[in-house]
Parts: sequence; structure tokens; C-alpha cells
Amino acid sequence: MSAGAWIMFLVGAAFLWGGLILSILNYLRAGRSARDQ
Amino acid sequence: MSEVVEEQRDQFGSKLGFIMAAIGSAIGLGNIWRFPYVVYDNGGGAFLLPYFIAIATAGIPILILEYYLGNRYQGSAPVAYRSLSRRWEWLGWWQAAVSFLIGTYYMVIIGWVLAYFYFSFGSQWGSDTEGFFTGEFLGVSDSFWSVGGLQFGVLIPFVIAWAIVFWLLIRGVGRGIELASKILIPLMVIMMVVIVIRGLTLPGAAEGLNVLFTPDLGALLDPQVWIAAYGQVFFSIGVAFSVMIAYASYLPRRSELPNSGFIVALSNAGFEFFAALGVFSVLGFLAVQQNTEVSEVATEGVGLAFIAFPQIINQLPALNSLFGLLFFGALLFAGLTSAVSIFEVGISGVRDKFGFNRNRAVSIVCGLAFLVGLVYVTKGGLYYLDTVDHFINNYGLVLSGLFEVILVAWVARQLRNIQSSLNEDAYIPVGYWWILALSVITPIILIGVTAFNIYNEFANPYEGYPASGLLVLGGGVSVLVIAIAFVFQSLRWRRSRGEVNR
Repeated sequence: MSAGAWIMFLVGAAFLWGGLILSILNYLRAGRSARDQ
Repeated sequence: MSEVVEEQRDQFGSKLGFIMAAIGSAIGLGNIWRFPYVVYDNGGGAFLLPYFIAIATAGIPILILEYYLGNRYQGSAPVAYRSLSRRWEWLGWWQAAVSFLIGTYYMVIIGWVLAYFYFSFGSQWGSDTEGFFTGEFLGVSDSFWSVGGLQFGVLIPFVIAWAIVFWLLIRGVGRGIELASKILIPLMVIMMVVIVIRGLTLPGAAEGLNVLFTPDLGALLDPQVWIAAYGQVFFSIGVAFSVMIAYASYLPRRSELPNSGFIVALSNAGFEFFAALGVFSVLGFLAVQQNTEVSEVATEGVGLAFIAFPQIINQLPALNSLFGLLFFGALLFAGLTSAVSIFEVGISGVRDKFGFNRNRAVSIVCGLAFLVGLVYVTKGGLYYLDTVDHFINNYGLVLSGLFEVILVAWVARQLRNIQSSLNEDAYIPVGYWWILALSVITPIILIGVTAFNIYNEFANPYEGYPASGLLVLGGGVSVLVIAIAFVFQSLRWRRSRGEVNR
């Protein structure tokens, strides 16, 4: 793959999969703090 | 008071169940067979920029809004819009009618997928995959108005697909939709992981991905690329189907919503991005096998799934049937979890308004949808499906989505109140961007998309179909669903607000 193609792939992966992982972590953290209370 | 009216509102068993069902609804056939080509056709990697902006300014904001409407008013779209403004109940019925109509032909496509799942055993489509699909399998008639008889090879899988969807819907929200989503979505993801790994290890995969991701930055100046990005996000997440309103109404009131919106929107987008890796790596492989360019074999939709993929499966060095089962299995699971959500819109609507019990509502909605769907099982069915799909998506969904944001932002003027209400329970507070996106950006974009679509309709009649066909099945059906919406609004409510919201 060309450098441009690699960069766009990595940008897409970081934004979409990174964003998804962050929102799932948020969900799990909120669930844990609700159980702790 | 009848026993029917005293039924409790259905509920998801857990928040996770709701999220999985919403992901199942959002991830459909289009994530696998449409998105990869849209990226390729609209600037390659450069398309990702407008795509991300569209997710942030339309996809996630509308999704959160629909969650709020369903959850706050504990009812289907007609209940939610009527609660915002009594005269706007018709908008909910319009969206329900659009979803119903889409569901009628969506089930036919699921039937095709089911048939191809079976054909994967021993690659029964032979070497001429296009001839097999349009000839032997669909028996497509010579001209638009040659209806022909029912095509029995399509009717049988269509009936089986309907039996599965009917059974899931009869079982209800928790034991049907939620359970199916919790099982089928992880399975579908696993299947796609195997497809992507196999695809990436085939010769030519790197070339396929190179074509997919190499950015054409000049495309960012083309308004059509931006329209394509918003269109993809709009159709893919499934906003304006009012599915998300119905699903959120099955959550306890005052559930946390914005973070769920992020999870669902990013799962949907993340999955289609991942699926694109699989699709373009195997298209790269096909190009190498045929000694041609990837651009020569790149395609989307029906052509990708039922013509190109069988060709690819034919060319694989080993385990051809298994690859076919995985691909059509993933499509089948994506389709089934979306189909149940599409019909749940109408089911929840008629239950709320007329007080029907679940079995009765499911039987009426599914029975009618099955009968309408038979039109697409005829030899002329492909023409009718293609025409209705084009018009109902471009006008029914886009325009009803436009009216939805106009109602909330400019007629009821509720965005600020909704924002504060959402933030009381939110893990991620929604900021001013959310109001700006819904009140200004989304309406402007949707007006632009509609203007472009109308211009295009006259400049290039769709697929060169006869004007009579486009007028009757395109324009006629689009107008008919609006008329049906007003008829439903005029009918008397059998359940009071209190009963609906219980």
C-alpha cells in the first residue's frame, strides 16, 4: 500500500475504533461506579 | 377495560440488550455491500474526512435525539411527535410507513441471501455468476412491466426468512429481538473477522486496499462527495426510520442515552470500516485472478454480493464453500437483526394507537408486509425493488428526517430543554455542538441532498426505467405513504397517553 493509503487507514482506525473503545470504557466505568454506590 | 390495554409496555432486559439491539438495527446489508464502494467512489481515503464530519454533525446528534424522544415519551414515533405537537403525529406514521415499505423488499433480499447461503455448498451458481443470478435464480423478465409469475426459487427462501422474522417478533422485545441480537451480532463480527483475515492473506489484497484508501484530496472540493458522506451516515445508522425511537421507548425512563448513541454510531461505522478491508482485499484478489484492474471489478450492492462474491468464491484456492457460508451468513445475520427492527416500528405504532396485543399487531403488520413483498418475488420484482428502494430512500427517508429536525428544532423549539434533560443522566454531556448540528447543519445538508436528488431525477431518469414505472412505483408510492400517514393520524386513539406511557 502507498504511504497515503496507510495514513488514511490509520486515521480511520484511530477515529472509529479508538472512539468506540473510549465510549465502551465510559460505559463500563459508569456501570462500575453505579455498582460501587 | 380490556386485558389488552392493561398489558405492560415491553422492556429490554438490560442496557446491554438495548445497545446490542440498536447495533443490530444499525448494522445491515449496506454496511457490508454499500460502504466500501462509496469510499472507493468518492475520493478513497479522502472520503473519510467528510464521513467523520457527517457522523459527528448528523449521525450521532440525530441518534441521541431519537433515543431521547422514544425514552422521554415512552412510545413509538407517532406518540413522540404528537407529544411534541399534536398536529405532527402524521410524521411518525410517515416514518412508520416508510420503514414498513423498506421492510417489504428488505425481506426479499434476505431471502436471496438465504438462498445464496445454501448455494454456497459446492458453489451451485456455476461459472457464469451473473447469468445464474439474473437468469436461473431471479428469472428477470425482459421489460419493466412484464410482471411474470412468482419465482418459486425466490419464494421458498422468502417464506423461510419471513418465518424467522415473524417468530422473533412474536417472542417480543426481550426474548426475541434482544436475545437474537446478543447472539447474532457477535457471531456476525466473528464471521467478518475470519473473512477479513482470509481476504488480507490472498494475493492482490494490498492492491485492493491501496485503491480503497489512497486519498484523492481534490474530491473534498466536490459537493457530491459530501452529499455521499451524509447519505451514507444517514442510511447506515438508520436515523429517520424511527427504529431508535421505538427501541428507546423500551428502556426505563431517564436512562443514560448520549454515551449509548456514541457506542451504537461508532460500532456501526467501525464495523463498516472493518468490512471494507475484507471486501476490497478480495476484490484485489479477483482483479489479480482476472488479470485486470481493481477498478474493473469494484462494485456494490446486489452486484457485489450475488455476482462478484460468487466469482471470488469460485477462484479461491481452498475452502470455497466455507468462505461462501461465512460471507452470506454474515449478510444474513446483519439483515435479520435490521429487519426485525424495521417492522418493530409499525408494530409499536399500531400497539400504541389501537391497543392491540403483541400477537395481533405482529400478525397484522407482518401479514400485510408479506403480501406486499410478493410483488418483488415476481419475475419483474428486481425492477420494482430497485425503483421503490431508490425513491423511498432518497425522498421518504431524507425528507422525513428533515421534517423531524425541523419539528424538534424550529416548531416545538425543544432542543435546549432536551439538552438539559439529557445531561441530567449523561455520562458524556451533550454540548452546544449538538444543538447547532440539529438546528442548522442537518437541515441545510438535508435540503441540499433533496435538491440534488430532484435535479438528478430529471437530468438522468433512474436506471433508464420507463417514465410510467418511475411515476407509479417511484413518485406514486412516495406520495401514497404520506397519504397513509394522514389517514392514520385521523383515526381515533384507543389508548390514552397514560396507558401508552405505562
